[in-house]
Amino acid sequence: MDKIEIISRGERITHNWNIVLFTLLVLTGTVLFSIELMGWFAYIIGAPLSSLLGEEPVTIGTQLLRTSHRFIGFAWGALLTVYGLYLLIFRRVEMFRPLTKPLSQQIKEAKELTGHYVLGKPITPDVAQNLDRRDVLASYITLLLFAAVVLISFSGVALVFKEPLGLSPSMAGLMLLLHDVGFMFSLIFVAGHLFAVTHPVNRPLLNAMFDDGKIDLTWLKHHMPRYLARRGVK
Amino acid sequence: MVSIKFPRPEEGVAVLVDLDRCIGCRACQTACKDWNGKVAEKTQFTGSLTSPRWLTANDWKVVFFYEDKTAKKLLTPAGEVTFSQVDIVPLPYNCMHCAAAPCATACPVGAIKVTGEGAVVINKDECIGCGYCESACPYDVPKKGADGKYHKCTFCVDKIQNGQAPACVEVCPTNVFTFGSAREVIEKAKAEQAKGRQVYGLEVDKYVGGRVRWIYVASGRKSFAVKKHFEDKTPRTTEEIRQLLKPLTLYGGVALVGVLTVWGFAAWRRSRLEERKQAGEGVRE
Repeated sequence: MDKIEIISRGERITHNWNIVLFTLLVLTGTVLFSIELMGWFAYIIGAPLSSLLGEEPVTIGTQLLRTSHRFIGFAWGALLTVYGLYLLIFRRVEMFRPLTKPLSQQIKEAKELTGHYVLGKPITPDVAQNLDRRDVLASYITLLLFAAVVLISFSGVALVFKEPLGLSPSMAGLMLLLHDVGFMFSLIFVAGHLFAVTHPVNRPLLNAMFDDGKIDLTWLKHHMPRYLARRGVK
Repeated sequence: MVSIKFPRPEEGVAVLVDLDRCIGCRACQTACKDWNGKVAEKTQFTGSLTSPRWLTANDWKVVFFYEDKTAKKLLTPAGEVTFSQVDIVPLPYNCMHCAAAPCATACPVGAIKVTGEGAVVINKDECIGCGYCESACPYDVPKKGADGKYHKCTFCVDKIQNGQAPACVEVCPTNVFTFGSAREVIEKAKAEQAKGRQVYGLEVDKYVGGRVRWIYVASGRKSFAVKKHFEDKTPRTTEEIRQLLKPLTLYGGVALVGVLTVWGFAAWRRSRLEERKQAGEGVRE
C-alpha cells in the first residue's frame, strides 16, 4: 500500500506543542474566567502551599494559575511566532488556498461537506474532484482561529503590561473583554476541529498527525485529488 | 466554593448624605483615615480644595468641592431680586456599596465579600491585585495600594456589625449623614425627592443593582454638585458584555460539545454500519 507524507515533521511537532500549551492555557485561564465553576481546581492547586504560607487555598491556587497562565501564554506566543514566520518566509501557508476558489464554489463545497459530515450525504463529483489538501470548512475555521489568536495575544500582552503601558481601568476592561471574546472564538475552533478530526471519514488524517504524517495514496486519490494533481502524483 | 449573595436593596443598612448640611470641614475624611489606620500623605495644590484629587488606596473617603454659578434670590424693598453667584459645594464621597456590586461580580477570586448589612468589602488576604474590580467599578472606587492589592471603603463593617455607625457618620458635626436601616433611609430619600430635592442613588442603572447604599440629596442650589460628580459615572459596557459572554461561553460551549458529540456518534455509527455492510457483501462474493 503506497503512502505519501502530507503532514511534515515540523507541522506535527508544532501541532503537538500547540495541544499541550493551549490545553494548559485553557485550564489556567478558565479559573480566572469562572471561579464559580473552577474554584475547586484552584483549591487543589493551592491547598499544598496554603498551610505553609497561611493563606487561603483558593487565593494561592489562583495566583499560581494566573502567573502560570502568563508564562505559558508567552511560550505559546513564541511558538506561534516562530512557526508563523517559518510559514510566511518559506511560503508554506496552505491553509487559505481553498479561499482562492470562486465564492459560489466555496459555498457549494461548504454546504456539501457539512451535509456529508453531519448527515452522511454523498459529495457530488464536481465538488469531490476539486477537493484539495484542505477544504473550505477548514479554511473558514482557521480564519476564526486566526482572529482568536490575534485577539488573545494582543489583549493578553496588554493585560500583562497594563501598568507599564499606563492603561486606564476602562481600557484594561476592554482588553479583558477582547481576551474573553478571543477565548470564545478559540473554543468554537477547538470544538469544530475536534469534531472534524474525530469524524470517521478523517481517521487516516488523525492517524497521520499522531504517527508518521503519511496517508494511503488510494485514500488521497478519493479525498484530495486536486492536492495530488498539484504535487504531480498520479 | 465561591459565590456571592447580594442582600436585597431594602435589606441591610444605608446612609443618606444631605449635601445642604455639609460645610466641607473634612472631619469625615480624617476620621476615615484615623479609624482605618491609613497614613497621612502630603497634599498637593491641585487648583481645587479637593485633596487628594480622587480616592486612593490610603484615602477611602474624599470630600470633593464643586463650583458653579447659582441663582440666588434676595428680597429687597424694591422687590425680589435674582442674581448669580459662585457657589462651592462640598461632596463627601466614598464607595457607594452598590446593591449588586459589579466589583464583587468581577472579582475572579471572590475576594470581594458582601455582608448581610450590604457592606461590600475587599478581603485583603484574598485579593490578588488583578484589578478586575477597578475595571468593573462605574464609580472609579477601588485603588491599588503599595502592597499590590486593592483597597476601598469598607462601610466600617467592623463598627456596623457591632451596632455602631461608620466613623465618618459619627464624627460629622452637622449631621450630614443619616445612618440606619436601608428601608428607613430609602423612605427618607423618597420623602426628600417628593419635596423637590435632587436625589441620587434611588434609581440608578441595573448594572449596580438599581440602587446604591449611599444616597445623596441636595436642594436645587446645590444639586449641580451631584450632577457634576455623577454625570460620567456610567456602567462599564465592557464588563456588562463580559457578564453576558460568560454564561454564553460556558453553557453554549457545553451545548455545542453536546451537539457535536451526538453528530460525531451518529457519523461513527453510520461508518460502522457501512463497514459491516461492505464486509457482508465481501463475504457473499
